[in-house]
Amino acid sequence: MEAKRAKDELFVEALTAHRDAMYRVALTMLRSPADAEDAVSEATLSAYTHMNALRRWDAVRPWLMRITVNACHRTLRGRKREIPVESEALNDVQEAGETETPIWAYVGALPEKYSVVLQMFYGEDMSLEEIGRALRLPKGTVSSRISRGRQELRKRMEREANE
Amino acid sequence: MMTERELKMRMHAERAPLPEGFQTRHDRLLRDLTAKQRAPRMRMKGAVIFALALVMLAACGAAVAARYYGMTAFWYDPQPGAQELIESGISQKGGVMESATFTVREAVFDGSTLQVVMEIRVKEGYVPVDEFSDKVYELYLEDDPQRRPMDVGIDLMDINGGISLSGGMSQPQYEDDGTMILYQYMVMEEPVDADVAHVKLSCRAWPDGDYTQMESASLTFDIPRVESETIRSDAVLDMQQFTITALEAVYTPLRLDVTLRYIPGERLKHADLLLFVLDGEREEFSDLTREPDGDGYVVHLRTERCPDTLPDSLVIGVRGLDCRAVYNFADGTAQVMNGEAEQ
Repeated sequence: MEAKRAKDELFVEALTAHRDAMYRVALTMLRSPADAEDAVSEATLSAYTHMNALRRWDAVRPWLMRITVNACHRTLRGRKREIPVESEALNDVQEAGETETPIWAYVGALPEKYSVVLQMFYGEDMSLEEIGRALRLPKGTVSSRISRGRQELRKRMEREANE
Repeated sequence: MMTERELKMRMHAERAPLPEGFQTRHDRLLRDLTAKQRAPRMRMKGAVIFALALVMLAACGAAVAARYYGMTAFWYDPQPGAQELIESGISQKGGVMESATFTVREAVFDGSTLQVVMEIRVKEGYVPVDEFSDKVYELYLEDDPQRRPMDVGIDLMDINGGISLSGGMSQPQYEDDGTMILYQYMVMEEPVDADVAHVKLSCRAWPDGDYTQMESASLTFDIPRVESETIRSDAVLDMQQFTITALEAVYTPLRLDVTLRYIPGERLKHADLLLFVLDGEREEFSDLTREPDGDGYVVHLRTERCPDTLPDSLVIGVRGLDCRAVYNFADGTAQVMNGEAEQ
């Protein structure tokens, strides 16, 4: 029982520390605050059910991100998508009357292979190795996606600024 | 132009707001999870998050009850006829080490992807685990210091003497006797045309997370290629800022792939086109590879949800550009919306 209590405490501490970041990554992928919160809940359940798989609590962040990404992919598979893909979160920002689009909305509008790595690297300060572990990608691929994602982000922001 | 440092500062300063009450609801979920025996109690009738919790735990229970895993257990939405394509009882060579034994339970190969369901048994006193696994065999590892982890993994070495992978995924499960069932889905950069694939895998195992104790062995087997249905169009379509010169759609009950060749205009010469492809069900394809090809590029895309048959039509577009290429396979036409087409 003591061992279980200790594990539970570690679990709660880890989830509390990383849930905001999990939400922001999920929002980047799903572009819907409600779906992102559901994905975080699903990831939390999955993490608790399988936390014995984690042998090093200092490596918990990429592990939680991996579970969050999996939860988001399940949501995306179940979702019918229309073109063009509008960002609900971006629409909320626009409806709120904000004159300048926040950076996270630009990032969220990029293709997933760029938006997720940019959010993890610049938004959540994850290392290339952590991102690689979370997404099961080689570090070189992570690095190139960050670079290309940054170029694409700049193009879009400049395009909007010139309109 | 925004520097990297400025980008990081902005992403920290302009973080997406959390939904109102998010942390409170999450705290409640954590409390319920850790209270008593893990199963959360339904406190608020109709509350989405708690209902989700029960559904998730019920799903985990169902997975535990169904302790035999074949290929279809890992498929999200298999099409009728897909299950018949799976090979089982495959004759193999190799895959046996002192620390672990790997056995191919089922496999299917369609020229572009190889899917394998592998049984992995490890030596006494150990439990097979995948380093990035979301799951673990709880009955063996939980509160049992006598059981130790044995990391295991498989890699595709070659098919018919050569291959290059463009991507893939793996997912483990466990059966009642502790056997790990590892599902691997591997995507080839170039399709394999041969009717039979001679597959060579590398199997690895290392105890207690210690790479210096790693054992490895090769495992080989032959598998026939699933027949596919292919449709091609050599219509040259002027999409204003780039030109599509060829399209090929390849269909099996396992997948629908689209290969597109295009020549970029001057303005898009060095740009990555954010292509999208839609079939009749409005399912969007995701791009797998993009390779230079002479004065243009060849892009390979796949839909995540395979339709029942080769679709009658496909729509090709680029995010940020207005025109669309519409291919109608039923009447053999291809046209550009908001542009001229020649065929």
